[in-house]
Amino acid sequence: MRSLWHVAAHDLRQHLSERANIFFLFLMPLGFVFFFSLVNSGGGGSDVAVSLPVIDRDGDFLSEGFIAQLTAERFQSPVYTAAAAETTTFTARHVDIPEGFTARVLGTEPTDITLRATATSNTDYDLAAGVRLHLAQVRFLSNLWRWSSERGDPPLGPSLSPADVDAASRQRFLDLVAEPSRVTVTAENAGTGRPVPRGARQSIPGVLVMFVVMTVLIGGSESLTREKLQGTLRRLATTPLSARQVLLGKTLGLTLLGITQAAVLIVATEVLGRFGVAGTDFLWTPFLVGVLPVLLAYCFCVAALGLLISGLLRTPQQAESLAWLFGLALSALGGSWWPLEIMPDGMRIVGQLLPTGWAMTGLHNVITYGQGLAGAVVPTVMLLLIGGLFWLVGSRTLRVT
Amino acid sequence: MLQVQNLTKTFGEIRAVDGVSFGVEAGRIFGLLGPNGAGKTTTIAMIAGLIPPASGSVHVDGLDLAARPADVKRRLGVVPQEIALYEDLTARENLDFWGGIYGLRGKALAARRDALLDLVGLADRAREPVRNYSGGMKRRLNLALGLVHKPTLILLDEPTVGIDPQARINLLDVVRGLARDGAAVLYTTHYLEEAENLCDELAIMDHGTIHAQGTVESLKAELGEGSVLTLQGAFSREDVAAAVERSTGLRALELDDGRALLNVPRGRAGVGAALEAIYTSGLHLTDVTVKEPNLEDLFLKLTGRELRD
Repeated sequence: MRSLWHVAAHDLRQHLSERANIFFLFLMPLGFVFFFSLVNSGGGGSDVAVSLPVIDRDGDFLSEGFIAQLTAERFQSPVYTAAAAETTTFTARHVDIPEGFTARVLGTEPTDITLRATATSNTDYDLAAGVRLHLAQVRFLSNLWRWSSERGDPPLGPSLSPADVDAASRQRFLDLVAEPSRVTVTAENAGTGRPVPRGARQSIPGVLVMFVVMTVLIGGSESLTREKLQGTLRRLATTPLSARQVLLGKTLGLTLLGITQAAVLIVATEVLGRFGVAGTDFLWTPFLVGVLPVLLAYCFCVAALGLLISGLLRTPQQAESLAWLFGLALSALGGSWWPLEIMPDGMRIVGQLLPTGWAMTGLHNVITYGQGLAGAVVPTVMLLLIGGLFWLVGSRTLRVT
Repeated sequence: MLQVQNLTKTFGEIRAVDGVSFGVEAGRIFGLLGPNGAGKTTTIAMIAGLIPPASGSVHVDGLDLAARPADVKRRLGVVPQEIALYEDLTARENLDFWGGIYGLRGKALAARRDALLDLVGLADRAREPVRNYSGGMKRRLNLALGLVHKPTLILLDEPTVGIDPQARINLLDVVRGLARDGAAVLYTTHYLEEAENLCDELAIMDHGTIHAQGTVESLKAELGEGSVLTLQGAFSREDVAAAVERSTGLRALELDDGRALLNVPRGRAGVGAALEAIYTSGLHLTDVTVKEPNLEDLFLKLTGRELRD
């Protein structure tokens, strides 16, 4: 056993001592995390701000109050006058407040506020904007009712016009809008519904799963085929280690490489999260108990796949090329780049057969769905089974002797 | 120290090693001499536990390799034909790694490492990456790695292939020193001079079988006392056989159409009489050489072909 660790530790040192590997292990994944976190910092969750430009054709105090209400609903709402809107091209959704809006509301006449989505706007965000717009409308009306009640005379009705409202009363309405809402509406999934993992909770585990598979497959298969060619693998089998023990030592070394890669990413993203860098506040620490078995099993599984690839190919160049191809395909199909939930049914089934798919499922179970250790059990067992299968085939194809 | 009994290995239809048996005593150098493809490396691989034999047995220090592979392999120092080193590591780091596999640690490992670096003459370049070494230096390190755990049986598979004459002399000196220190050495080569000068005992191997074995002197004695006469020309083997029969003292070692290897009784008279007998037989000769017998002649006699064929 001690000799196995000796072989594994030697291999890990070899990998870490190569300059190219340091770039791949430490710098490149951190760049990806930073990039993905930045990209995803505006997406997902219930608290993100949605862009909603407003064309204010009314320009009176109730349209001003409505716009303030939108801001309170976490819309980012730059305001355009009717004239400015004529020269502006809206790339996403926007709201159009009609002329005479204040007068019509005060006179209790029907009026329309229009939410316009464009062909290029994000449908998810359009949907979220519609819901929040309704919330803003409800709160606007409740504030209007409070304001009207406080005023007492004159009440809202056909006789009231903007000219009847003095400056103090106008300001009072805006103050009411600025007060914290007394009713909060929270949207949650009920029953068997599962939200699509998104934001940092998708991108950070995704980057981790991708870089573990890339690092282990590329580094591992390249070094193993090189050892096969230069005869050191065969020489190892002349020592008291058996051929199977040699392969176990090599697998252990690759597993340690994967664990190192995962640890680097976990520590780095934890730091980013704690300091709120790149718009992410995602932290690993609450999920570590559930995440660790999934990651350990995943690292073993990918190491065994590296062994298998090394057995199939003759030269380091061939192995490296195939490892790149495998790594990228496994990452994309397994849900590292985008959630499995948004993929077509056929692709999702394929993804769920892959180590990356099971790793992402396990991580999402723990992180996004809060299932703790229980959510990690099935993915961990599946990863160990797939890894075991890879190892059995790999140990027959990679001939030490 | 090493007992090999009736070792056989087949690869499909090919019998790479066919019933090979020999033994190597402690402090002795045993050579396996044969051309490429003779089965030497396959024999070494079976003794090293790299490939299982189809039949036969290997015992080292009385231990059966099949029954106790780890214990046997701990006693072996294998120096493979290919230069199997970690090129990105230094000589020190290579020795540390391979020593660690055998459980060497700390001061014991450092002392052994330094002694080996001195032994193979690499102490002054020990901290350089191996990829910067010449072929000869790599060969020397390749040898040192097989000795790191002080093995009692050393298997050297063509360790001098591709190195310059001076490096070869140095390496052979190291091998002699290992035997002097009590190790049993099994040495494969296809270089006659190496086998003749280095080995205490030899086995001549071709097509997977051992054709003869013994000390260099006893093997040469199989060619008989006297000189070896080699004839080349436009003649049939029957012509030469008839000429040999008519002469006195002349003995055929190897007969073929256009080429014959004959044993001639020692002494000038013997050679003269032999040449006269051949001359009078009317053979059409293009080349005649007379020389003292060597292993090349024995190999030709035993296998019907030259070692360098």
